[in-house]
Amino acid sequence: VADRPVAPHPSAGSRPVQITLMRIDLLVVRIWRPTDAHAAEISRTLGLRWPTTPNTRTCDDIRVLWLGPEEWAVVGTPHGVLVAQLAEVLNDRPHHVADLADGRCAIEVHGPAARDLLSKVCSLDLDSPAFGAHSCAQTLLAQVAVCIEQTALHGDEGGFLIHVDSSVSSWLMAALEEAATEFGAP
Amino acid sequence: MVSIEHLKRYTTLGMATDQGKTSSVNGVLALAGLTGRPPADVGTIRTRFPYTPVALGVFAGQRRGALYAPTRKLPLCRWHLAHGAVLDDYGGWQRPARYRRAAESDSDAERREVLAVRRAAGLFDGSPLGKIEVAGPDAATFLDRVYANTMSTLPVGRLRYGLMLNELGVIIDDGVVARLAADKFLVGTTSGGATRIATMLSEWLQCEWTDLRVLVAPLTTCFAVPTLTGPRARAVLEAVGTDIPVTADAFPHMTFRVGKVAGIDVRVSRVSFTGEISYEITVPNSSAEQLWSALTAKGTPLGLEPVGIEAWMMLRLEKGYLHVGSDTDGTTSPDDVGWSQIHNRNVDFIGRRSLLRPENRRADRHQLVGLTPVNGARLPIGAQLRAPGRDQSSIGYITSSGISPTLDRWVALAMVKGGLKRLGEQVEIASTSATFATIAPACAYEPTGERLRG
Repeated sequence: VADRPVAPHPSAGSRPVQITLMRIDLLVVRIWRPTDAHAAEISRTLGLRWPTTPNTRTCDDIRVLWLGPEEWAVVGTPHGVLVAQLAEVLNDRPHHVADLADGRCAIEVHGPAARDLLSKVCSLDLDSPAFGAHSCAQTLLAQVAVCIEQTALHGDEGGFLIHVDSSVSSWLMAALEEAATEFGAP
Repeated sequence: MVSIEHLKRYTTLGMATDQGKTSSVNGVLALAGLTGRPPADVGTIRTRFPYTPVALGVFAGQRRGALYAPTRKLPLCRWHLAHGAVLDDYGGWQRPARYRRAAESDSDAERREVLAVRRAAGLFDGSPLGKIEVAGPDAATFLDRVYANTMSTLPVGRLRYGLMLNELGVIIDDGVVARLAADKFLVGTTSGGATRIATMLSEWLQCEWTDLRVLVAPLTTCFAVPTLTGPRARAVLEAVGTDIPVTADAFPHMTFRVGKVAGIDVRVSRVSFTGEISYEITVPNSSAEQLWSALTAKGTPLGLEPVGIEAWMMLRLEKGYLHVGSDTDGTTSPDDVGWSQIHNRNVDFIGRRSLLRPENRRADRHQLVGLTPVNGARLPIGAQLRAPGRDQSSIGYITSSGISPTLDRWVALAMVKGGLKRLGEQVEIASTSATFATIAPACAYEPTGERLRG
């Protein structure tokens, strides 16, 4: 378990926290009453790990987040291939794949003060080891329903990626930016 | 009673604006006198935070001003603002109330928008309407239980209006269901119900009907829904170009088609909340502005105007279409809005049993009717109604009303005791003395409903 970084990330300049809104490729996969055998078969066929432990994610080239007993988010993926492969693996098992790229976006919060900033607006314990590199969680952030995961996009430990409904993303950005002012953010 | 804590709880002494600073001292002395003890033996109440006045902002924290509560932005927000839209909050969404031109008053703008729809065409942003995919081999069975009316008989490619009840038999939502495939439906909810209904559907599946093979996928905010309506709506659709045959025979009311409009992949649904020919065009957010701009570019020469919510609500009011939450409250049953045919169903559905209670069968329940003004009477929303004569008690109230630009008079919907059997009777508007209205069918404009089929 790494300690919190004490120096700002180089790209952050002198700012202790940076907040960036971005588009993400996101599929939500739902499978009716999946068994461990389904998860194993999906992992084998799709060539990626499929998480079955609640509130965990796998971070291969394609990240898969456990959202619920019948629900996963797949981040950063070629859509068509995966849908076809899933249909083959699941055969007659009822399932549903939704492309949410148009309905969700992501807010990246990184820099040395990222965790402190999120702690102001989120009641979850986001400190290691309670919330580590393999964690993900659906929760409320400043009254908004989100899904949080750590990000390694900048190679530091101070980053989080927040999945949020696109309709409310600009409001959440404003709330985070306001909350960040105490850390000296612009 | 000997304890000061008892005294506090029975009398609320020590609460309120002084937080006990004066009252509690008096209380201690009074209790000491009554129980024959020195005040010191009575003691004081256990004080709790806050001991001293605290500014409200300390508790509010970030939650003030624009950050008080989350607001949702439409995918077409930028276009609306660039074209004179006055945004207002509707169920958490910032939506165009109207598009105001220079020197226009609010009511001028709304009147112009209503008349544009009746005479030519209007374009309305219906994006917040709930869109929930319900999929799986038992999807039809599930929806038969969830809706007060039958959905399993809906053919693929068709649309059906439905009412949802809670277990008390009270109407909680309405909307249009599309059957996308034998085992896949798109449940349309009200804009305000989108999140709540998706949660409710999942709850029933997780807690009550665990045997049903059904998955629920909320997709509301992935798509925008430009809605084209009016006698020239079809002409606008043809002008922007579509590979969907749009004649009335090829694409009738209450059906949907998948295809291209202005070269963009969309689903088009013929469903009307205005009483005019209407096309709800469901388009991914990322293509919404391109489609909307194409529709306005080709539509403007045909008389198309963007239409805000206020005009939209007047259009539906002229037609007497139900608006859940305005015309209904926490007691309204399907029978109260004229939906007694659901008693003929032979499957169980949420709320059915409650509809058979004596309370729900009373003949004098409030029922939804229309009102026609007598001698130009005003029909203010919320006004209580009474029967002419000596009895001064309320027999109902106005739930929706306004001055109809189409009919040039007040139109209103009202909940009236036993109203469906009182058509033609006069009622007195209690809040404006000695003015009257006649109880009428809910639909004030074009009751034959031919215009929307055309």
